[in-house]
Amino acid sequence: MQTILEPYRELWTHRELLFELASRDLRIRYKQTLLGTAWALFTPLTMMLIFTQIFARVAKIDTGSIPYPVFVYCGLLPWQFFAGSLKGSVESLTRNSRLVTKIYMPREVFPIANVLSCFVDFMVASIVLAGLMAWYGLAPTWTILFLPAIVIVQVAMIVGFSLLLSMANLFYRDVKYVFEVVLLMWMFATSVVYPIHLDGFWGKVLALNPMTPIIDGYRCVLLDGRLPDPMAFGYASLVAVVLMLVGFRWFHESEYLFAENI
Amino acid sequence: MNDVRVEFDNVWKLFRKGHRARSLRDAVPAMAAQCRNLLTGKRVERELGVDEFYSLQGVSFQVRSGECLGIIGPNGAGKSTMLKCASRILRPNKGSVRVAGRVSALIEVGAGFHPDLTGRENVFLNGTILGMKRKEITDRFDEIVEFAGMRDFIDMPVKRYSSGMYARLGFAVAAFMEPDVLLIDEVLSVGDMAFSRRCEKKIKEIVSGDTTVLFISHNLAAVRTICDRVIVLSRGSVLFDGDPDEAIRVYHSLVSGGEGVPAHGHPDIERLRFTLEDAYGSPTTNAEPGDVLTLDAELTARNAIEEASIGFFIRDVNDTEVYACSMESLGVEPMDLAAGETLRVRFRMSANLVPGSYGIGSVLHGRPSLDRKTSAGRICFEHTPNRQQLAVVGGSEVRGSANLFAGCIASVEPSLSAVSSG
Repeated sequence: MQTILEPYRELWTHRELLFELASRDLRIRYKQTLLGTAWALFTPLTMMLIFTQIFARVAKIDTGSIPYPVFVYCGLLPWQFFAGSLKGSVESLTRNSRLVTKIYMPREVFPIANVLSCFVDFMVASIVLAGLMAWYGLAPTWTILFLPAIVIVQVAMIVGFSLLLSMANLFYRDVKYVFEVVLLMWMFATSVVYPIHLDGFWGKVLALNPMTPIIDGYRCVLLDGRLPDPMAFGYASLVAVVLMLVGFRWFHESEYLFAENI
Repeated sequence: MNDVRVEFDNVWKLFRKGHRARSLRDAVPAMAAQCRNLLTGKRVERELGVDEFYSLQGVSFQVRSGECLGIIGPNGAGKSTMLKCASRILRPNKGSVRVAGRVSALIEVGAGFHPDLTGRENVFLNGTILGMKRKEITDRFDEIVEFAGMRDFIDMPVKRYSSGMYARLGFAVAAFMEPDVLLIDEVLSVGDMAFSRRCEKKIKEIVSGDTTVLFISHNLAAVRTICDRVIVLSRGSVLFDGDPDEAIRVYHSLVSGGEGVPAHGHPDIERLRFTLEDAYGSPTTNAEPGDVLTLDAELTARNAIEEASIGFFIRDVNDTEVYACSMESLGVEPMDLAAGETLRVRFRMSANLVPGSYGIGSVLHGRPSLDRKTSAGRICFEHTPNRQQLAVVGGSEVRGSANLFAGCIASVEPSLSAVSSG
C-alpha cells in the first residue's frame, strides 16, 4: 500500500509545481496568438464545420432527433481533449530534457501538467457546446448530474495513457510518430463523427475501444437525457482505473532511468 | 550540530556508452531476433563490459551539517555523476546515498527558463522547479531582482535578455533558496567580473550558515576560500579527502602527470622537458606568493636547429596570459643545435602571483632543418600551453593577475571644520 500511494503523495507535495507548469503551457500557448484564448475553440469548431459538410450533407448520417452539428461537436470536444492531451504528453518528457537531466522533481509533473492545461482548453471549448445546445433548443435534463463522473473517468484514462506514452517516447523516440497514426485510426474507430453500432464480429472488436462509451456517455447525459449504458461505461471506467494505476506505478518505478536514457 | 547530512556509502554507478536501441525501428527487429533465438534454442551470451564503465567506483564519504565540501578532479572523474546521485537524478547501481533534509541544486542556472515568458514569470516558474514554495518566492522576490540587478527588465520576455542577464537572473533565483543541502556545480563563472564576485560572496554567505554545501569547481582559488574540506576525485574514486590546500596539491600532481612529456609537435624535436623547481632545487608544482622558482628546460634536437631559443608563458585559469618571456627577451642569444645536441636553459623567477592555479606553457623559436627549405626566417615551431602546472597557495587573500604585495596603513583624520574651529 505504501509503495502504491507514494507517487500520488509525492505529486501532492509538488502540486504548486504542477500548477506552475500547467499555467506556463497555457500562457505560452495564448500569449503570442492574435486570437488568444479563442484558439482553444478553433480546432473543434473547424472540425465541426468540416464534418457537418461531409456527414450531414453528403453522406447523410442518421443521428436521430439530434441535429448533426450538435452531435458531432459533442463528440469532437471530448475527443479533442483526449487526442490533444496525449499528443502533448507523448513529448512532455523529451521536450523538457534539460530539466529531467539537471534537476530532481517527480517526473510525473510533466505529462500531468500537460493534461491539466489541456483540461482548461476543454473547459473553454465547452462553452461553444452550451451555445449550440441553446441554439438548437436542447435543454439538459437531470442526467447532467452524471457528467462529472464521465469527466473523471476520461481524465483518469488520459492520465494513465499520458504517463505510459511519455515514458515510451523517452526510451524510443519514434513512438511519437507511430502514435500519431494510431490516433487518427482510433478516431474513426470511435463514435466521434458518426454513431457506432456494435453488431457482428467487427462490432465486438470495436466494443473493446474504451473511448466509445465515454463519447457516447457525454451525448447520453447532455443531449439524450438518459444515463449511459452501465455495461459499456463500467467497462470504460475499469480500463481507465487500471490504466491510471499501472501508469503511475510503472512510471514511478522507471523514473530513475530517465536521466541517463533521455 | 554534528549530524550527518549527506552520506555516500560505497557508491558505484555504471554507465553504458550508447548501444541500446533508441527507436522502435531498431528495437523491434532486435526483439524479433531475440524471440527467434529463444524458439530455436540458440543461446546468446549478453556481452558485458565492452561498452560499460563505472563512473563512480566505491565512493564513500560523509558531510556534516553546516560543512562545505569541495569536489575537484580532472574532467570525467565523476564529479557531476556524484552530485546527480546526491540529488536523486541518478540512482547508484551499488551502495547507498542518504541525504537528509531539503536538497536544492545549483547545477545549471536558468535551466527552467522559458524564452517567451517575462523575467517575473520565469522567477516564479524557475523557483517552483527548484523546489521553492510560491510564498517563499513572493517574499524574496524583491531581493532576487535586486541581487540580479534586473529591476528595469523584469517585465520583459527573457528571450530579449543578453546571455549575461539570463545567467544573472538564473543564479539569483537559485541563490535565494534556503535548502538544508545545497549542491553547486560550476556556476561561479556567470556574468561579468562584478557579478561573479557577488556570486562568490553570496555562496560564502550560504556556506557560513547552517546549510551543508557540496561544491564542484575548477576554480581552485574559489574552492580554497569557500570549502572547509576537499575531496579529490579521479576515475571515479576518492583519491584524497581532507584539508583544501593539501587537496589542491594532490590535484596538481595528478594533472601535471610527471616529467619528460614528449614534444608531440615538431619532428625535429627529440625531447622537450620542463621542470619546475623550488628554491632548494627539488621539483615542485606549487608555491607560495613571492617564492623563488626555477624553470629548468631542456630541448634535445633530432635534426639540426639553427638559432634555437626556448621561452615560456604562464596562464591563469581563465586562460589569460599573466607572463611571457624567452631567452632573447631576457638578453640571451639564441644558439645553434646540431642533431642530438641538447639546449639547456634555466629560468629563475619570483612567483609574484595571487593565489590560484596556473599553467606554464612552452614556446620554441628557431630554424629547424625541416622548415629551412620552405621558409627563410626563424619561426615559432612549438607552442604548448599547460606543459607544467603551478598552484599558488597561501599568503594573503588578494586577487587579480599580478601580486603587487601591497602593504597598508590606515588612520582616521579629524574633520577640517573641527580643526579650524578649535
